[in-house]
Amino acid sequence: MTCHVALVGAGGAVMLCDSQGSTDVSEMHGLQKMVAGKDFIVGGTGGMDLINAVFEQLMIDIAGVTADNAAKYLFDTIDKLVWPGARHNVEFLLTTETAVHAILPGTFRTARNRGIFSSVGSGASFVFRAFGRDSQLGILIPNNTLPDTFATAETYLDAANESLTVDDELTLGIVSGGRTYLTGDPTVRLNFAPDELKQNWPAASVYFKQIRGIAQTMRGELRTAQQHLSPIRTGELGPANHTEMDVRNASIQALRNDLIVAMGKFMGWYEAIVP
Amino acid sequence: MKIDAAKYVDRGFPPDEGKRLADALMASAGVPWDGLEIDVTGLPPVMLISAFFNGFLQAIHEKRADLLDKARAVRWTMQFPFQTEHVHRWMTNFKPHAYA
Repeated sequence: MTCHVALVGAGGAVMLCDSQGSTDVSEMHGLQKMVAGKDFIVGGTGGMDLINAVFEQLMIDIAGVTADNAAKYLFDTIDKLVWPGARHNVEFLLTTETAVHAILPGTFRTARNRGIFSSVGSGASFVFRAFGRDSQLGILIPNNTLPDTFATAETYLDAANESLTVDDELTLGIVSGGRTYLTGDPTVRLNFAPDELKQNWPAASVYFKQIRGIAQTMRGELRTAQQHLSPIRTGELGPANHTEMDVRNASIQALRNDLIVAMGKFMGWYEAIVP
Repeated sequence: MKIDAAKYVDRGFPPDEGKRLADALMASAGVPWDGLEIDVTGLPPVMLISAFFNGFLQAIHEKRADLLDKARAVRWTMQFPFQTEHVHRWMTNFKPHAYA
């Protein structure tokens, strides 16, 4: 089982997913459930056999698939490979630089436009609850830069960690500047990617761990800031709380700068190894 | 001697966990405060924020102010370079809270 989270922002789109596969009696980790095309990212949820079959075909046809025809390609490929009665066992989230689409072949014959944010998989209900709760509370959803979009998406994927069928070994896909980037935890076994990336996956993972570490630290600072904001619920916010929030704010600013630098370094490195 | 912080730190709020680590080390007779090294690579990045380290130093200030300079000089083993830079700044800039 799975959780994919996709968020589009001003600097591009990001998609994150876990690596767990589950059955009634066991669980597996390190599964690659996301593929990067030329200018789109697609993530699959459901039966791993079905996801793998579609990804195998996609890798064969990858040169001819773009953001403009990816949704149709996925439906056509599912039609070709999967019996109608089994199509409800697989779903895909397709992210381009400007929009997120859900491919739900067991229900719809065309892609469903989900706007700038969506999630699929067993963890999606946790993600939507966290997203909805933030919206209710008036908490902003930062996506004005690519690093902000990543940090936001990481926060919502973390919400899915409560699910027993979602693990914490992630794959990250980015669509920005008309191209894609793929990285993730070193434990993810990369089967559907260019050879250049497969050979350099350990190095790509080092970048990912650093990038995610910064986002996690920002989340920790935010959590503590929220703790210090909480006295406002009883009208008891005081100068000490203001001071603490200033400290957290300064720390988040510094970490955000780190994240901008780290993502820039990763993307520059990636462009050199995956033309 | 290198201390493994994961043996002392739980999953609570970072300021409380920083205090918990400080209290555990202060309660232990064998901790060499001169040149102390603490390994935090086993702790999640979400825990290792400014409030964790401030909580650590604040607890020492309140119970053993004589150790504060040595605590500021602790060498932290971190997982990522960005953490090392931030922690150095937090340890340097820490100012104890007054307490009533």
